[in-house]
Amino acid sequence: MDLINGIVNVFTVSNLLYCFVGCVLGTVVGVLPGLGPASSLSILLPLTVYLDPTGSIIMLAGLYYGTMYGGSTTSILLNIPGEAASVPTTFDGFQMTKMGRAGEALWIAAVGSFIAGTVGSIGLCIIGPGIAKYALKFGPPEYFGLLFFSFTMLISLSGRRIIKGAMTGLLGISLASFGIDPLTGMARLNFSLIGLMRGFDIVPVVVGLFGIGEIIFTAEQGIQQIYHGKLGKMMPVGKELRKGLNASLRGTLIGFLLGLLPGMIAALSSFMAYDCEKRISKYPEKFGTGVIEGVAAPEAANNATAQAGFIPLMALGIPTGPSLAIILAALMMYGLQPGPILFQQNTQFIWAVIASMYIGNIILLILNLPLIGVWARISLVPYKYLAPIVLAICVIGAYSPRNTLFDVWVALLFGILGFLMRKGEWPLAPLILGFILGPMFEQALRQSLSMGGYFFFLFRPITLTFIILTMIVLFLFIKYLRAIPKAN
Amino acid sequence: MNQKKLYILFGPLAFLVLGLISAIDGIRIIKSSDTQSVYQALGPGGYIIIVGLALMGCSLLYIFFLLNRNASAVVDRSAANREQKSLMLKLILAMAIYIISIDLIGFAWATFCFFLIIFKSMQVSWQKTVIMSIIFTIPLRVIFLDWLSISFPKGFFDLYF
Repeated sequence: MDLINGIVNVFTVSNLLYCFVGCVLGTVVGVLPGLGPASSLSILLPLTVYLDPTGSIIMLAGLYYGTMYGGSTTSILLNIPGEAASVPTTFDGFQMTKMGRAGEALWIAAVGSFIAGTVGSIGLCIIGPGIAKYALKFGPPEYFGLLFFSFTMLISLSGRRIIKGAMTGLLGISLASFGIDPLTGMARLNFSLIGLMRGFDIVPVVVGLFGIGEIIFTAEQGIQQIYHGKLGKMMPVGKELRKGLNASLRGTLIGFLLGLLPGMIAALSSFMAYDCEKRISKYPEKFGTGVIEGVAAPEAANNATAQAGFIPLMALGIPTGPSLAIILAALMMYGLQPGPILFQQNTQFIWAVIASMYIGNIILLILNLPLIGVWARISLVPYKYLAPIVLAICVIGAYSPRNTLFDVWVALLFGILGFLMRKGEWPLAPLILGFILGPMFEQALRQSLSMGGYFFFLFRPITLTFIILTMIVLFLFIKYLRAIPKAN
Repeated sequence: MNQKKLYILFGPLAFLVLGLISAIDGIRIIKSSDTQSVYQALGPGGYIIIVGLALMGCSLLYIFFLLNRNASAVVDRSAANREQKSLMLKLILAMAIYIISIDLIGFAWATFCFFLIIFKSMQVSWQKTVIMSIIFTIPLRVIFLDWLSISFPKGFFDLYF
């Protein structure tokens, strides 16, 4: 009943307009590499001061999930993930573009995101407040367990190149530790360079490894175009459609559950969803060559995490990431205190915002599906025209998060590294995974050790469960390796 | 040891050096810090020593594998011709010049010059190069500088553009 009232409240011309503007801006910003949701929300926040609270939050929320939604476009078409969460989408998305299937990849990314957004909104209404309380049981030891288990993803992301995968994963962890020790505040691995004092930002690293690295590699290989020939279908049909939709649902579930955890980043859920799809697939060896599940699952997980983040925010007042912290700031700016009281005292407001999420998802779908044909044509543009604009956008993308040219140099260096790794057939994905998980893992490990000594995990059932799961995965992997005939 | 093997050993050796640097810096931090006042499990320095040692261990293992592998199994991937290699180097050089020039002459002019260099490197005709450089530069300036207010360094020329 409350939700119906909310929908009625949202259906004012001004609220629908705010929702629409938020979604459009979010999609546009999501397409531009480097400008993640946090920076776009901070740009828009001062402008919303003049709006009423409901309209303002509707617009900011629209911008937030619009950005998550738009991030897939450049990942699929140009192999440039604008943010870490879009990295797994590049593995199969860009391969599909190379095969002339950009339309199908974009379609499943859009529909997968829609499914994730809608399921996330329903979850927010029904089970959200109840589940959010359990998420608070996750302390540093439990995070350590989860992250320890996450490192088993290195196995599937490395394929047959296990040692290379482990090495690049460790390289990622090592590169993430440059800058400042997070717990003692001491400078480390910065070689007295001022730019390195803050460590490497994820955006220049990703833009360099994938965007610049890809362009340099393409130039060296003499490739003239991403795809030659006639473009394929603009939407998957039959078996492909079914596989894509099922993967979207699985990705949504993973993303939604992980999104409830405070401090959880969308990148981890999209990596986990990709890994899960690969593990349960009948043809795991085909992942990375243009498999539709490899696009659907991470995209859905990424968006479900974004949507689920509203549950701890609204129900407990805990933002799960920097973007939601800005939305929390906006709520407080209007004198609204998130938490259980918000649901009791501002029923009209809260349900209007939840209802706007349903409508926002429909707007995003309507907005994106007709554009697929236009976007897909980018794959037909010759590299000699595409490369300069992509490189310029990479430079802007690397510069914009921290406004420093040092980061652009970092992007160029990582571009060269990405090129060399492609040449030497070193897997890039474990490096990014290590880079993303490294700081979280370090913090969780060191805090856990400080809390409970070296055997802290024995007294935490959730941590112990994750450690046992990790051992099982490793055992199965070793068994699998032994089963492969030596000739292979 | 043949040249192919030397070429592919370069990668793991780079990893080995990075692991070594990480471990050495960790030891330096431990030596220079007052552990009485700054106590943290695995810190300061302990964590990066462990990561560095793990990286070194994996690198040594991989080098061992490589050295024991049949030389014929080593694949030579340096198949690109001279023209393609030169284009690749031009791209890297153009980007380096672009980054330096943003600081000196401002974003818009640097971007325009960058497009001129890249399009010409890609063997686009002069007429097309100039037209496309203008067409690409203007929207980039409008979107990122005017609309999104990204504050790029104001070089000499950007003050007048």
